[in-house]
Amino acid sequence: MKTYTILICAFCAFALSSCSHERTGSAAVDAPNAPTTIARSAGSIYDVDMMFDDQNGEHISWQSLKGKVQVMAMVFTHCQATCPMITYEIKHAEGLLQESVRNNVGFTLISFDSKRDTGAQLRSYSDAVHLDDHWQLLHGSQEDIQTVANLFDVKYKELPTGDFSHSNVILVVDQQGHIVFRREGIERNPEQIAAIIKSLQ
Amino acid sequence: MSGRIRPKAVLLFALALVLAHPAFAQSHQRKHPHELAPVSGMVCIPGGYYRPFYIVKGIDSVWISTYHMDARAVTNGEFLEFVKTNPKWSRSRVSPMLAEKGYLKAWQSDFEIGNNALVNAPVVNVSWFAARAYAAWCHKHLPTVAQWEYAASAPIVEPVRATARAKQSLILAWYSKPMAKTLAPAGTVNENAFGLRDMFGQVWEWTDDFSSVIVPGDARGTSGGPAVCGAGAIGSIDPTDYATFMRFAMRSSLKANYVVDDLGFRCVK
Repeated sequence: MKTYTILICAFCAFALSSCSHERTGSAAVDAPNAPTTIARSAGSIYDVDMMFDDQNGEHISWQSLKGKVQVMAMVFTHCQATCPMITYEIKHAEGLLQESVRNNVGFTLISFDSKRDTGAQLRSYSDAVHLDDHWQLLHGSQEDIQTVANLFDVKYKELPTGDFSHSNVILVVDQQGHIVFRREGIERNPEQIAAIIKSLQ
Repeated sequence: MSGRIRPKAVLLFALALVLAHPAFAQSHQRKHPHELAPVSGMVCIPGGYYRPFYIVKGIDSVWISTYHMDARAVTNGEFLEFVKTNPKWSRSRVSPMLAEKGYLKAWQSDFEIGNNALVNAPVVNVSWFAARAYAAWCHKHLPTVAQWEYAASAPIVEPVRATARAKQSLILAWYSKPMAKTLAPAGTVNENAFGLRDMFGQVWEWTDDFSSVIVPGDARGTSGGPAVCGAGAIGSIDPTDYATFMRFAMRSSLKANYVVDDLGFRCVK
């Protein structure tokens, strides 16, 4: 059944793309009320062994993020388009939390850009946009970045300029690593993210 | 889950497109092939230029370095060895985050295939995570989309020599047929000029970077805002190459923990 569905989707996509290539990159607004919350995922994102480096030069295991509610997204610091909006929205959500809640939450950005986003670059980005100690900015091998993207169902592709095309996805992950919220698209709705975090305390 | 696309209208439309535009640009051209040391069970694919199916501004063609590719799809028997050595990839222990329900469902149990006809047939119902773990266990990789398409672009030579157009028809006919109840042993179907078998005619195959396929229809989010940031594909090099289009659309529809009845894999080195 799934193959069938997939191929029907494929066909529809073909029908769409063949007659309207100019749609690419446009911001369609025909589904403003589409549900963005998914049921708690079966399995944990921490069921994979990976290592990353953070903005402080610490070498950390993926599993070390376990135990806290995590708000997560994939970005790259040279992005001039949507990544700053993602970071800002999460930061805004953080500001809506009481300090007692905030202390139980991690805010984790994973960079697409394994070449340019070194620890030092992530540090200067973190300073430039005033991210506090609750934030971890991670960079790692291309292979692990690809694994994270696939855990998050994020599509991305490196461009000849060194920038990336990528899906815009924000997730909230519970203490065990179950994805409890995943939103695709830029919505500027930090209240929604804050509400999900509070519900997990 | 038995199906592949069947509606006759789709097939007729596809064939009409193919027939209306017979030109099928060769997507590779060999250049200074140099042989790597032979690897058992693998075919050396000489380097060359590959024109990506979806054009992104600034990328006309990409150079593919010489590599080895498994001559045929990975079999159930081979995958069983991997699972026995790595029990966390057995059916009952695998994390649902890494392989959804239905993983290896044709097998009798965690460590038994239970059907001799399956042992040498391509393994299917494996997720991207599982396929990639298998490849790493063999000190290999999954092919990139570019490597897979480049390898698949060679003409078919066995059992019959097929022209580009005949090859398209053959592939489309396969895509339109319901899946065979029992797959033939791996390595017995449609050999191409590189010496690769089963690229078409048995199962679809995972690629390492399947999630880099951003087709024009993907460019909007579930919530309405832009889902994709940055330049997307501006169109395909040949919109009439329906068979290739189908593969890209299939890839863009997959998630890494999906398992599908007719989706297997092979490795590269």
